[in-house]
Amino acid sequence: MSGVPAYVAAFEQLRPAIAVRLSEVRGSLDHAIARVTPAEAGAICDAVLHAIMTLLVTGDHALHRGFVHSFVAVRSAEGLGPDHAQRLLIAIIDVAASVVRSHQSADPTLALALNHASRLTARMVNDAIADDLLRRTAQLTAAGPVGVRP
Amino acid sequence: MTFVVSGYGDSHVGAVRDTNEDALIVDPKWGLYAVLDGMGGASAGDIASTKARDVIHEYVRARRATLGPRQLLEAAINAASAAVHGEAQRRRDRRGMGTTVVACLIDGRRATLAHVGDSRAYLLRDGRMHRLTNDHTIVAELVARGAISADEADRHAYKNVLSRNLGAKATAVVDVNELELVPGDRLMLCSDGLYGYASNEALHQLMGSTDPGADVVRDLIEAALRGGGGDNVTTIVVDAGTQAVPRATVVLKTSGAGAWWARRDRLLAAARAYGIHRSPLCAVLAPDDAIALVAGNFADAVYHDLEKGTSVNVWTFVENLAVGWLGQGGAWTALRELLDGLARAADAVVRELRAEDAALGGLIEGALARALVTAESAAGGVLAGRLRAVEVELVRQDAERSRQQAEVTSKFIDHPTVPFMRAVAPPPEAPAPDVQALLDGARRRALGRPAAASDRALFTRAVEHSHRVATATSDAEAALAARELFDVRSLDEAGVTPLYDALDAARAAHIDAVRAVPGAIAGKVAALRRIAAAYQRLSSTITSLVVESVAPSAEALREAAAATAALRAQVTKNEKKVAELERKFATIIDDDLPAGMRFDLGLDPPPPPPPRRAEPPAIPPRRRLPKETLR
Repeated sequence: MSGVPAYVAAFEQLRPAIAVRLSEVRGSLDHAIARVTPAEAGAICDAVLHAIMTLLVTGDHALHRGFVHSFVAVRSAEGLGPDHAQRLLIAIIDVAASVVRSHQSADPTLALALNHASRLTARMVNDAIADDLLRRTAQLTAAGPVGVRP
Repeated sequence: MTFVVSGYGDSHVGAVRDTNEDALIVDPKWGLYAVLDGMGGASAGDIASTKARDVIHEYVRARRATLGPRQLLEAAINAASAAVHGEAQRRRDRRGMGTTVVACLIDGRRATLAHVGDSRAYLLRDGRMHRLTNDHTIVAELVARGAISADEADRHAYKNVLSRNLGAKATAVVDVNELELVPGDRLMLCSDGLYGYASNEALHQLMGSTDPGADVVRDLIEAALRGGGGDNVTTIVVDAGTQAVPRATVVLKTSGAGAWWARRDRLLAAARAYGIHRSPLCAVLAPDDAIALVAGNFADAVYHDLEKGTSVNVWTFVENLAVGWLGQGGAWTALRELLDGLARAADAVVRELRAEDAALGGLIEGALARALVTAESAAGGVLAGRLRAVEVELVRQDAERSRQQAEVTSKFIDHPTVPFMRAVAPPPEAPAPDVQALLDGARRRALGRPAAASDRALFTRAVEHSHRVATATSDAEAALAARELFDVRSLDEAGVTPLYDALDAARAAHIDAVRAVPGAIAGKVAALRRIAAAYQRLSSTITSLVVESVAPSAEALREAAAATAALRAQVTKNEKKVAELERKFATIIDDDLPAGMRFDLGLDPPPPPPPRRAEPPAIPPRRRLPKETLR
């Protein structure tokens, strides 16, 4: 992995341990993820870890925003609100950071990078919610009060 | 290294009730911890819980050496049940009293948990909180059997009705679990006055704090009181292990929090440099007040979170900010920029800290990064709440408009039956002679072609009517042709589909016929345009006719849907009423009352009216004797 920070390689090495830990604590991560089979929960967590890995390697915010939007949309199709999706994303990255901290207590760089990735992810969800809120509020204003005929 | 267990507990009457019916046992010497939540009106609840507490405590102390933890706890709880039940049988005013219990007996690293009722035990391990007990309520058992969903359970009329308690019978069915404690574990026992009034997130945050158990107990109770304190609140926190607090956290709590506090003024200065006071959120404040209020509160919240090892203060700070700003219609971008400004100001402080002490600065940087994630999450919750509210309002308004529209259309038919008949466009001109000749030739050829449509007669009529519309000089011709084509037909697939099939086949045949007729290209183009327009008008007019024909049915469907919704609402209301009545009757029925004294409940026929001048018989006041399983 030449050209990318050394901590990215460390993250890749720790991914199996992170996946195991996520599997152990999935029941307390989120009630939605606790309901699905371990394989499905593993796939969700793996997708998030992969997206974080891509973000750390490429630093491409647009790409990450695309992932965040699709994640929120899929959770929305399952009946979960965007704030719920946000908490799930944060919880998964938080578990990853805690595993990293326990394995690399001497070097906080990777844990710090994960915390920043978590904040960025949460911010992107907030931006998406705010965009939706703006659109819906405009619809509400355009529709006018009920009872007034055009 | 010795395995150390320490426990702390406290109880509070709450913000609403006058008496505390909870009781607790905190006995580190015997490793016994228990929370009991009494029930039963007329002061019997506290008697039940204190009696059960005393019996359990005494039983464990007397037989600790002879019985194993599992058998000991089970037997102690059964003895308590027998004692409470006996007391209730002896005194009528204590009939129906009972209590819940959740007890923990710690022997070395092994913890044995036993519970009856809805008092709970939680375990915090590796930063994650696990619930160790299942509530013994009717609703919880219905959920466990899959009879109702978790969402339905929240709204269920019997959600607080216990299926088991201590004292209802001489013996109780006790759930017993065992677990192996590891260093760093934190157990929490509580009554429903805690988890019923403090959110899971708050419990998790406070349990995860590195404060001593006594402080956590105090904070938990305060959280429940802030949440309304509608019930007695009792909680016990048991810390296990030789090293419950990680070193880094200790450093953060002490040196980290101190270092951050020492740089509070530096943070305020940095916030001013980044223009926090110019934020739209601070528009009504003087610059100094804005810095003190926003940046100062942020600094305080971070300090308290560092000191306690939680995130609850930053969460509350940002949530309040977001609720206030977004609630008055403020834009997210302004709040976003304010949060970014605070983050940059904090970063400036951290850079200085790192320059002085790299290790400490690194720890604070990590804690601050987590605090900023918490801030985003808090803002996200408020944003999503507002989005949900707007969506609900949109749906409501849409439903209201549909209802209004339905009312209007049922009274007036003011919408155009055939939309293009009201067009202000000039009427079509008569085709030029060469185009007319082309159209006539095309009609003959189209009629002579084998039709793809199964209904030959309909195909022929479609070609004829299209020709008529294509050569017409009035828009009304299309409406008349469409009505003739539509004729009388059933409004289903068998009735409508052949018509559209015939139109499609006629159009294809007609267009092919124009192409095949000899003539100039310009004339063919004009003819094709007229034919295409004719078919389009016929098709759209027929669609309008279909829509118009089904309108009464659609209206009837809407009315039926509205009537069904009204009936459903009525059924729900009645079910709720029935549930309330059932609960009321279950609460006040006393089977021991002689027949004839229950007439006011409607169970017995009313007594004959007394003689006019005779004194009415003395009826004892109706007593409220809670049923054993009701809270």
